[in-house]
Formats: sequence, structure tokens, C-alpha cells
Amino acid sequence: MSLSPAAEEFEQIIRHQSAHEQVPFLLALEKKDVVAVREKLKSLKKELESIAQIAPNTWGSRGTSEQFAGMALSGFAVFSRREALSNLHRGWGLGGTNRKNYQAVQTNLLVILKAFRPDWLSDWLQARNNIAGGWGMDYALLRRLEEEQLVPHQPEVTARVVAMAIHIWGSELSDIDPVPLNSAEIIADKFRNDSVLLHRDLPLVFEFDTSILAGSGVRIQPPMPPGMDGLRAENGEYMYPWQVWNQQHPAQFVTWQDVFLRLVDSGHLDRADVITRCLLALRRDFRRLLLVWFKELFQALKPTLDERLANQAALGELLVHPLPLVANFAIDQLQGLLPEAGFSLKPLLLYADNLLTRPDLKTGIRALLASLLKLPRQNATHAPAVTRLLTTALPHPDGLVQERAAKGLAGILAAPQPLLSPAETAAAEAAISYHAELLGPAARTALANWLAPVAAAETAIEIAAYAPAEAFVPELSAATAITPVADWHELLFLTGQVLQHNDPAATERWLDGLLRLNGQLPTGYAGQLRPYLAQLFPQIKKASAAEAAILREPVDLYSHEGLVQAMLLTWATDFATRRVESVDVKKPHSVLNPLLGLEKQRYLLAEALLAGRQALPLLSTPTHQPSWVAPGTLITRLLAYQAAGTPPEPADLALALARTAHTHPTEAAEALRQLPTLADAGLRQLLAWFLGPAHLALPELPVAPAARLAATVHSNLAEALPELWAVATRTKAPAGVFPTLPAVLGYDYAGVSQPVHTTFEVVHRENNYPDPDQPGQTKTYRFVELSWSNGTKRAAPSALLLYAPTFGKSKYGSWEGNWMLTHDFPFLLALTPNYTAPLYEQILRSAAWADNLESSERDLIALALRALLSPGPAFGENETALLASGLIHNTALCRSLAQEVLLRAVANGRLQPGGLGGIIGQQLAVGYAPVPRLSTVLTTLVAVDALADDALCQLLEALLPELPATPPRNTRKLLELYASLRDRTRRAIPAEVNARFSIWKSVSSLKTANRLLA
Amino acid sequence: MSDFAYAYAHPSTLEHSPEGNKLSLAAYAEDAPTGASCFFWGRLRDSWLAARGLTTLAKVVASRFVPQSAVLRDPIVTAGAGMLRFEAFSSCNGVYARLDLGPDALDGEFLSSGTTNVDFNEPMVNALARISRTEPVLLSVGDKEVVLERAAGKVTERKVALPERWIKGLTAVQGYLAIMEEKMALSRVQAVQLVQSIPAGTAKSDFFLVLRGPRPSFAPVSSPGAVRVGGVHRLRLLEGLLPLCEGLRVFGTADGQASAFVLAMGGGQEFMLALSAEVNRGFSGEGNQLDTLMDELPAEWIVGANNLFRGNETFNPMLFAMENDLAPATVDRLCASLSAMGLLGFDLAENHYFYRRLPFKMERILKLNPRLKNARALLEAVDDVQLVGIGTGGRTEARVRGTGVWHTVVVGGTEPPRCTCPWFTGNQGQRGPCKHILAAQMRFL
Repeated sequence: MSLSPAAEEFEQIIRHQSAHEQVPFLLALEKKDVVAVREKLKSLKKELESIAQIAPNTWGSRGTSEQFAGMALSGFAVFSRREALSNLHRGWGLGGTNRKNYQAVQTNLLVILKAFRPDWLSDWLQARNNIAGGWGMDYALLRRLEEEQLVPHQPEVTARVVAMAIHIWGSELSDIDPVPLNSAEIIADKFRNDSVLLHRDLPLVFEFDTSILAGSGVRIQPPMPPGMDGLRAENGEYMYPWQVWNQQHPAQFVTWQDVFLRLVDSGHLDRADVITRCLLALRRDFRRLLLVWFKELFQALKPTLDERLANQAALGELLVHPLPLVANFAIDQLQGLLPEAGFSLKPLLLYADNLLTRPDLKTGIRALLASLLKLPRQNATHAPAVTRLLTTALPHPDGLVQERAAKGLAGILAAPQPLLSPAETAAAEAAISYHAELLGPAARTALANWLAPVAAAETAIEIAAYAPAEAFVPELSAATAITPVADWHELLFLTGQVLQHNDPAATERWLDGLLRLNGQLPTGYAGQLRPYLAQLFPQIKKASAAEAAILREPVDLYSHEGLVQAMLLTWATDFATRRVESVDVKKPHSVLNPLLGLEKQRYLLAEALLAGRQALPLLSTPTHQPSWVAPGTLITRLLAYQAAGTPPEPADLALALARTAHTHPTEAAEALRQLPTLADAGLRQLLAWFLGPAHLALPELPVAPAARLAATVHSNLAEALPELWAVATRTKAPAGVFPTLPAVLGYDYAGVSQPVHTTFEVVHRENNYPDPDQPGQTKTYRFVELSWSNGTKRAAPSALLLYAPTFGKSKYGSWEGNWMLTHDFPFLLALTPNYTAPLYEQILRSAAWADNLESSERDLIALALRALLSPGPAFGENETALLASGLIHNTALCRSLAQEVLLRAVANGRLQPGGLGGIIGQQLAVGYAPVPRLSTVLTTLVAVDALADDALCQLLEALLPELPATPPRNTRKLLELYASLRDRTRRAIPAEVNARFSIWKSVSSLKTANRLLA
Repeated sequence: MSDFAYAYAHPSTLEHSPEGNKLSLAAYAEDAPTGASCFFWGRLRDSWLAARGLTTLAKVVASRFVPQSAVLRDPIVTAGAGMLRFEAFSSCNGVYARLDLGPDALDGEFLSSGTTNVDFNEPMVNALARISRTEPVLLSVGDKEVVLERAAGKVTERKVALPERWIKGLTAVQGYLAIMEEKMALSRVQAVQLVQSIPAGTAKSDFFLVLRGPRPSFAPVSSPGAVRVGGVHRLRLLEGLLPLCEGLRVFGTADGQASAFVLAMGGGQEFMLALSAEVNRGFSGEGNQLDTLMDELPAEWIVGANNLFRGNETFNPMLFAMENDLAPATVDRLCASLSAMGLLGFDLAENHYFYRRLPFKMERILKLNPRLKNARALLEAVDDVQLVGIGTGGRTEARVRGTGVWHTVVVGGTEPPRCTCPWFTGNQGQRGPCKHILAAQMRFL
């Protein structure tokens, strides 16, 4: 299609010429050419405005600012309404930051608009303002458009443009050389000198949502020349160029508040009118920051008492504003008016029901009630109205509001000279009775004389004594038995779940299913795994070559998730290419856990069994939930290995021992019955002791030869037997002492002969930095850190020592390591259900060393707390320390998880209340966390059941003696809690607690609480 | 995207006059009865309480719990069976709220039955907050005078696009509500304690409502009898209303995918708040009705049921099945088809459906259920859904074309269907079947 000459010329102008040629061209454009030019304009816009790569690593549009300006100008001449509203996105700001260019563009624009007079201009203006909030539009231009009758006066558009006016004028002042020093006055003069602006347009900023924000204004300062250098100050500090410029040319900052105050002071704006407009604006549903600005302007005007009294109705209207900010402002303003003769309580009475029960207003309502309580003393006629307001506040969810209202009511009702008529008294008493069940303890106490005695019904409190369970026997039953994968389809779809990597049980079933169904899979099964491979490597969706490469070439895989992914890749090649070996289980972890290495060894064994088509299970595959191995099944599996002539892998056997439910009496007896058929005498001896009675003494074991090397994961069973003894002993007796074991291993290590104890040291730290608010002053931030230690200074000699304490390069871990540990922790925990202390020690070191840590630490604590919910052996010191950390954690989530752990630990007999109270007391004593965190958590657990009450009481009995002579702030709350628990448990106060009370006798803040306990 | 927009002739207002206040709710009904533009005219018996309910409803529509820009503030109202039901979603579509004003709450005249959008503008909502306990308020839904045309160029009207996700949300919500069971009944005191126990801040993980002794609490882990409440901070929408209620009933689905809180406000008023399983899951994205929508019912059945329910306005599905000698599954499918057009809602307290007079547009069933539409598209291709074999117990294996891969799908038998696609892998069937499962079920079952 041939291009019309006009369109061709237009293209030439846009591409290569300027507005100088464009304006005459548009003015001379004939009607018949408009459509052709419009189409050309649209295609040019598309070409020049679209984002494309214009240089290496550089993306942008191809057009220049002149071309954009030219196209926009043409749009006003040739576009229809629809095209203008959808296509003409650039407008007033076409000149960019160059103000001279900006003025020229606007001049051309006016010429074009006057010539073409588009009927859509006002709609376009409205639409642009809705999007851009008036930015870039010059108020003077808008007025010119109105004067030329191109647009009608549009209040909303005008308000937004006015709101931007001081920014444009400020920029103009910044361009003047030298910059005038009285910029604020010059800007104010612009308003004073334009009565339309002052009286018609300026008040509109109170009516519409504009860009004015609290504190917003314009900075007036000459622009810094490019290439300016910094310099060294007299005190030796380097000053950046902008600092030097600021020093040489101090900026003036003119805010909207300055402008209004100047206009009011000079009498150009009516002070009363501005005050009223502020209050009317505050009634509206504006953005918070805009409301703050209106509020601050009102406050800056410092209204007199008379002015506020004159506006009391408008202030009253604000009491029910949905934003607490406004309602609190109204309360604050009205409070001061309450004692005044001209003040009427009517607005308060009118809105009482909507105001005094608002849960989002607490402090404000408390302050208002405090002011109201003074009224009847000044003037008894106020008593009925105040009584009505106080009764309305009684059901407020906040206990302190209730308490204040209740005390006020009690004061009025019990006044020596009756303040209320009999009818009013009866109404107040009826209201008290109606709200009785909603009242908290403090309000109840205050209104006890007007409440029916309800406490009597609560006297029958059940009492129970809590003690931790002595032994734990896992449930090995049909209900907890893990059903093996039945068929190919189940295995296939389980793969999807396993790739989510969040369920250790599913992963174990999958691994076991792979081994069980080895050789029984349908032909071409690998093709059906392709969707799962595509989830891991989306590129294989596009090309089969990519799939081939992924299946053939090395791929970076990490950590436990990498083991699963590697197994899938191996499986997808029908075990032709083995991948598990290449998985890196060390790099991502800042603190290496020995369990990961053993887990990798287990996956390697599974891979080898699958590749060799050997129908053997892993010894360590769990048989019962969550991850127990039944002793009988362990022996059966060992016999299967024996029958297949395959020696058990030490790593697999070590993990199997760690998972074996050795305390289960019937299963252990069954296993012992089968044991004689096991050929390996050394292993038989180990299992006989391991599955025997709890207190069976360690048999006499062969002493290691001199210079015995510690076994590795590649050692054979005979070589690794001493390390397996170390695993078995710690699994069976986590707190046991085995002095003869070092001789058997040829070395000693943490956890071999002696159990590992975790301790913490309190480290007081402080950070000092210059106070930005007070130059020359230093601000000090003090905090407490806990330095956890397991006393280990060297790495474990053998990788088979799976309970070896963590030993790593980082003292506290790192966020990457913590993030990785968060993902691996459930899988690692599932490996050692008998003895989890080393894992929890790692969590403490990584995530519980300071208060207010970040989200990766929070996630670790939360994860570890969730793991403590299930039944298990009584908590050891690490589990107890973790629970303590959760109970005083800075995040609500961890505290509520810890609450749940505490309750379930009581029910399961796992809690060690003495130990828990002791460690929390030590941490509170040094200011590691504030007391109210704990008291709030524990208070909500009172009266859940008798056992929990007793455990909580024991906890506090251990906690209180740990607190110092100068108790931490809010210790009173703990004492009140203790008093209430004592009432419920009838426990005698232990001597240590009594001793602490006598030390605290002189502490005034504890007097009330001490009285409760007396 | 929207398939229709609505416009009001004038904004809703709360006018004060010496005789009392008048709350005029401007309405726009997509399916307005001919000649009628006013649905209700009368007095609110407890105007203060009703205003609290409407204010809470306004809070719900103004709320959003995921970053989202569009805000629709206008609830829909269904007038019928002597009740006014105000329904709304939060902007994120994860919260559904309904205020039911029953016969005891209203003293007036139902001029016609119907469903309409009502304008909830900011001045009116602000004015609601100022209604005091003793103020009489007249309520009108729609105009008494029929306004058919407006003067050209008048700018008092607001044009708002009704999001399709509202209709999708209505479909999913009624599906969940219909299968919910009552889990707890709390007294007035316990309702207040519930407000106090809402965890501080924004809950990132699930919480479970439990009774610890007599006290309701939110625990971060599940336990027997607990009700899963995803995004528990959304319950703060009820902060202002819970202390006013006479009692609270908590409902939940057996699989924990949705929960509902029904507040008995007294005086014939009831407020219901339903929450999706998670903050980032809007009801509109749930596919809980896809199974029942899968089989296309004969159009005349759906038309017939629509006409019947339109006349009856409320019905109990079980009684309806017995009265009409229909299998319960057929009634379920009928209800699903009608609710997929937004026509049915569910009243938990009465355990029955109610009818919304929205346009009967069969094409909405497919349009608003893209998974169903995509499954049908798979079936239209020659070999995108292939049978592999039928196993024991009727388990049927199929290959279904996915994006760059073929998915294995197993359907039929007693076990739930499964697929190898990422949607199924991620959700394990909790948010309805994927398009591959739907296609395989439609072809082979």
C-alpha cells in the first residue's frame, strides 16, 4: 500500500525534524489526510515507544524525547477520543527535566489545542489525573486551557494540579541565579496575588485526594553542577560532593503547612475557615498520610479553646472515623474541652456505643474515661451522662479500659452523696449485670458489690501432681505400621510428593518402594517419569536433546534434596548413570552435621542395590511411624542380607540402630529369639546387649589394637564394629557413662564414654553509634547473646559416630546454612528418633543465640518446636533449652508453638518443669528477653487442666529463685501468675522461693504480688 | 476481565431528617424484574445493629490480604423469602461475608424478589458509623421510582466492572458451605475471648481453633476437634462485631479447606464470615465444584431446576431429592451447575440453598471454570487423551497431553484420581482436579 504524501512528510518530521516544522505542518493538515497521519502516528508510536534491546545489557525505547514530544503533540491534533484515552499517555511532562524545553512544548501544545479544539480534552485530562495524580501539569497551563474554554473547570483535576503547584514553582526558584532566600514568602505571594487560586482553587485541596502528604514540600536549591569534587574536611573526614554543595548552598524547604500558615497569618486565608475545612477533611475516607497532614495543619494552627468549642460538633463527628488515627485525634481534642462550661456531652453520648466498644482504640478510650471521671466531682449533674458512658465501655475487650470504667462506676455508685436517681442507679446496675460475664478479673473486683457472687461455682478445682514419665515405649502396632508401596502407580505418583521434599515418611516409602519393585516396573516406565523431571529441569519440555544431556551430563545437586533428585535422575536412566555420588552434602552447610554424610551413604547403597537388581531392603527403612524400625524386622533384614551373602553396610546399620525401637518389650523379645540364627558373632553380641534389658551392663569387648584407625563409611562390618558399639550405647542410654568404650575404639570422643552436655555463656554486648537526632552524642544499644557450647574442639574421628556434636567453621551458623538446615532438619531428625539432643544443640547454636534474630532463625526454631510436639522420651537438656527459647521468643508464632509443645509435653510426660524453669530464669535474669513475653504465654495456659497447672507451678518454682535481687521489670506478672497457680494447685511455697520473696520484700513494684502470696 | 458492568443512577445515601434517617441503597440488578427497581422498602427494627453488620461488610469488601490493586466496594443483595442477604468478598477473594436480615429484623415491604448490586460509597459507609442505638432508619434497596434513563452527560453514576471472580467465588463458597459441619458453638463470652486470642500480626502459617478448657484459643498445630483457620488475622474483620453477638457457631469442611463463622446477632440478624484455606487462595481459584460439573446435564434439566428454584427461592437439597425422586448425586450436579452461574447460595444456619436472581447464562459454566474448559479442549483434539489400560477395580490409566510432556493419569475405582502434572503434585487434589484428570474422567468414566 502506498503511503500518502502527508503521512510521508509527517514521518520525516517526526524522525528527523523538530517542532519548528511540525507545528506548521499540523496546522496546515487537510481533513482528508488526518486518517493517514493518524495511522502513521500509531505505527511510529509502536515502533519508537516499545522497549527493545538498544545496546548490550541495555534496554529501552528507541525514540528520543523530542520524538516523543512530537508524537504527543500530533496526537492532540489527529487522535479520536478512543485513541486519545487509550494511546496518548504522554502529555504535559514531555519536556522532561529541561524547563526551557518544557515551556516550548507547552506553547506549541496551546497552539495546536486552540486550532483543533479536541472535544475529548477534559475527559483525557481527568483520566490522566486519575493515573498520574496531577504530576507534571502546570497550574498556569490549566488556567490557560480554562481561559481559552478548551476545558471546563474540573474541581478534582484542579485540586490535584494545585497540590503540585509549589513543586513547579520551587523548581523555577531553584533555576534562578542566585536563588532568592525568601522562597517561602515568594511562593506564598503567588497565592496572594491570584484571587482565583486563593479563593476558588486552593480550598479544593481539602475536598479531594491529592498528592499532599504529611511533611511534603519542595526543596529549593541551585542544581549541583556535574563533575563537582568532594573534599577533606577540617576534622579529616571526607565530604562527598553533595555534602560540599549543601554546605555552600543550604537548601530551603517549603512545605504546604508553611504556605498555609503564612497565608493565614497575613490574613489572606480565613483562620476559622481553614480550621473547619481541616475537620471536614478529616471526616473523609482519605489516605492515612493525607489525613495526618490535615491533622498536623489543624494542630499547627493552634486553635484556641473558643475555636475548639465552636467546632465541638465537627470534632464529635470524628469520634467514629474508621481510622484510629482520626478517632484518637478527636478524643485528644475533646478531652481538653470536657471541663469547659460551653462543652456538651451530647456528641459523646450519641456516639458512645460506636466509640467506647471499639477494640482498636484502647489508650485513647482510657484517657477519655480518665477525663470523664473528673466531671461528676466538678458538677454532679454530669453524673448520669458519665455513668451511661462508663457502662457502655464495660464490655470493651481491653482489660484496662474495663478496669477504668468499672472503678469509675464503683466511685459514682458508692458516692457518699447519691449522684444518681434511683432509676438511674437501677439502670446502671442492670447494665453491670448484663455485662458481668464479659468482665475481666480487675473489673470484677472493682464492681464486686454490684455483681452476683459467681465465684462459688468455680471453687471445685481439680488437683493433680505432674511428674515426667520414666521411660518411653514407642507404639509399634498395626495403627502405626507403615504400609509399603503396593504397585507401580503408587510409586509413580509418590515421586511427585517426594520431589516436594517436605515429608520424610513419604521419601522413606518411596526409597523402599524403589527397592521393592526393582525389576517389576512396566516397560518404558522412564518416559512416565518425564513430567517429574520436567518439574526439576523445565528445559527438557522443549527439546529431547536437553533431556538427554541432563540425564547424561553432571548436574549440580546439593544437600538432602539433592540426594532425592539424584536418585530420580538415576532411576530415569534405569540406573545406567549413577548420580548420588556427585551430590554435595557439605558445601551449603555452614555447620556440617554427620548425619548427612551417613544419609548419602545410605542412598549410595540403595543406588547400588537397584543397579545390581538385588532384592534387598535397606536395614534402616522405618517400619512404624514416625521413623521407628521394629527390632524383629531389623533381625529379619539382617538374616536376608546373610542369606544373600551380602554383608550389611556399616552406615546403614548405624542408622538402623539409631532408629530401632529397642525399648519395645515384645518386639525386642521376638528379635532376641531370632538373634541366634545370625552368623556374625560380633554383631550378635552387640544386638543382644542393645535389645536386652535397659540396665544390662556392657559386656567385655575386645580392646582395640594400638594405633587403630577410626572406621570410615567404607570400612567393613568387622572394622566398624567398635563405632557401631558407640552408636548402640548412646542410642540405648543417651545419658549413660561407658568408661570402657574408648579402649574398644582406640580413642575417646565427645559422646563416646561420656554424654555431651550443652552449656551457654552469657555475653553482654553493646553497639555505639552517633545519635542522628542529637549531634555529638553517642547512642548505645546493649544486648545479650548466648554462646552455646558442647565442649568439642575437634571433628569426629569417624563418620560413623552419628551422634557426634556439630563442629563447624561458623559459631552461629549463617543464613544460607540455616536456610538449608531448615529444609534438611525434618529428614535428619527422622534418622535418630531415640536420641535427638545433638540435632537440637545445632538448632540452639544456629538460631537461639540472640533475641530478635531474623526469619531464617525463626523458621529453624519453629521447625524444631514442631518436632517436639509428638510423643517421645522425656526432654533432655537441649530439648528443654529449645522449649525455653520458644517460650520467650520474639515472634508470636514461636511462642504459640512453644505453648502447644508445653501442653503436649505435660500430657505425654516429656516436660522437665524444673529444668525449664531454671533455664528460663537464668535467661530472664540477664535480660535476654522481657518478662511479659513469658507471663503472657503462661497466663493463657492456666486452668487448661490440673496436670498443666501443677507443671506450670513447678516451672515457676524453679524460675523465681534464678531471678536476681533486683528483679527484672514486670516480675510482678510472674508473681501474680504464681499466686493464681498456687490457688489452683495448693502447692506449698518451696524454701528457695520463700528466700527469694524475702529478698524482694523491699521492692515496691512487687508489694502487691507479695501480698497475694502472703 | 468482566462479562458485565453495572451502573447506578445515583449514589447510595444515608439521609438525616427530623422524622428519622433513610438509608437508600442504589441498586443495579443485572437481571432486574421487569418494571421493578425497588426490592425492599421499610424500617430496620434494630438499625444500630444492622449498621454494625453493614459496616463490617464494608470492611470486608475494602480489605485485601494479598497485594492487589482493584477494589470493588459494592456488595450484592438478594431479596427474597422474607429476607435481605448482603453478600461480599474481600478484594483478594479469600474472605466471603454475608449479612442476613431476616423477617424479625425488617419491618417493611418486599416489593419484588431479586438480586442486585448496591452502591457502598464512602460517605454512606462513614454515615453508617454514626447511626446511634435509638435512631430509626428506613431502608430502601433500589429506587421506588423507576428510573429508566438518565440525562445524558450526568456524572452521578458510577460504572464498576463486576469481577468474574466474584461469581467464581460464589460458586466455590456455596460448594464449601454445603458440605461444612458445625465444629463448635461458642457463647457470647467465648466470642469475646476469641477476639482476644487472635494471634498478633499477620499469620504466615495455619492456625487451628481449639477449646482449651472453656476458652477458645488459636494453636499453630492441629489436634482432634480443632478447626483449621488459614490466615487467622483475617478474623480481625469481625473484631467489632464479635463482642455484640449472642453466640457464635464455627463451621469447617472435613478436609480443612474452608471455615465459616456464623454470628447470631439477635433480632433476626445473622452475620457469616467464610475464610479460604490460605491467605493467598481466593475462593475464585478453588476447583471444588469441578467434579460435579464434569458431567454435562441436559440443558432442559438445568433450565427446569432454575425455574423451580427461582420460584421457591429456598430449598433443602436432600428434601428436594426425596420429593422429586432424584438421586442425591443428580441434585448435587444440578446445584453445582446453577451455582456455577452464581445462582445459588447456601444458608448454613438453615441448611438450605437460596436462590439469587442473576442472569441464567449457561455459557458462564464453562467460561468461569477454565480447567473444565481446558479439559474439554483436550477432548476435542484427536489424540490428546489416550487410554493405556484398565486395571483392577476399574482403575483406568490414561496418557494426557501436557505442556511439552505427556502426563500419566489414573482415574476410576475407589481411590482418588491422580496425575503427574505440577498442579496435582502441588495440591494433591485439595483444590479440585486438574484438567488432565477431568479430561480422562470425561472420556473414560
